[in-house]
Amino acid sequence: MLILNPQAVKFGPTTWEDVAAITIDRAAERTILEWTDSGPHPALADVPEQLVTIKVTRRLLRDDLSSPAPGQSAELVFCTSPTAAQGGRKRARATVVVTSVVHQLTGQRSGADPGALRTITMLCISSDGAADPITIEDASDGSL
Amino acid sequence: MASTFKGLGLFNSGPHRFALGPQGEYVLINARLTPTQAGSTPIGPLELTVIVKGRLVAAGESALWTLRDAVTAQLTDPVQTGTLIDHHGRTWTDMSFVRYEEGDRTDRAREWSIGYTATFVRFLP
Repeated sequence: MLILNPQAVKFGPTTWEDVAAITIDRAAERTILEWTDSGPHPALADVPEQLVTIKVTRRLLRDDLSSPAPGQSAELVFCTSPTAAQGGRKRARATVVVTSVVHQLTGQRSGADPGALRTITMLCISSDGAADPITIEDASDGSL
Repeated sequence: MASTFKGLGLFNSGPHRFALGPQGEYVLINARLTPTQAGSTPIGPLELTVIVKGRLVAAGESALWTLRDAVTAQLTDPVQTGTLIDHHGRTWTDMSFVRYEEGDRTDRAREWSIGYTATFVRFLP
């Protein structure tokens, strides 16, 4: 999933401003593949262990000493909407654990748009191991 | 076609494969009996061993346990013999189901499944 310019992003009690994009990636951590005695192709494939990873990319235009640390856990909440209006607005929630915070300096050569991009990578945690770690709900009331 | 042991399709819930164990003569290293004696001695034919490796697959927890229990119910003491038939109709008579070993975890994903290795032996008369 890709969310460009989300309207609001909160990590625990902290509001993250100037978020350029949020990506949600899902990947198999372990895959089952089984073949039979009948031929060359797998007869069973399943994914019993998977990881959902969220990356939040922020634009930083000034010094910032308040980045989260790897291992830090909180509820990440963000909203997205197809238009600037509240209609169709959705809120996504996930309990996450930060795994990395990296920065990429931008505009250093041209002098234009000086600043940096901060990418915060987080793993999503399921409440019971079975439920999808990301819940998406209606947020057309405008609340975060 | 489905495989069977004693006419039961124990493993047909999921993919499984058949393999034979080593065949030939059982050769005893002499030094195991007499440490100073070199050489080895053939003492008789190896028992036929058929190994089935695969995965039991079910729609849920209780259904998977039903499959697992059906397999382990055939592990009898004393052992009983039966006919083992693979997917292609290859038949081994007088086989005894002697060992069933499961994988280290039950996988709960789109389907519930667990890997296993089942060993059948034809004991010498």
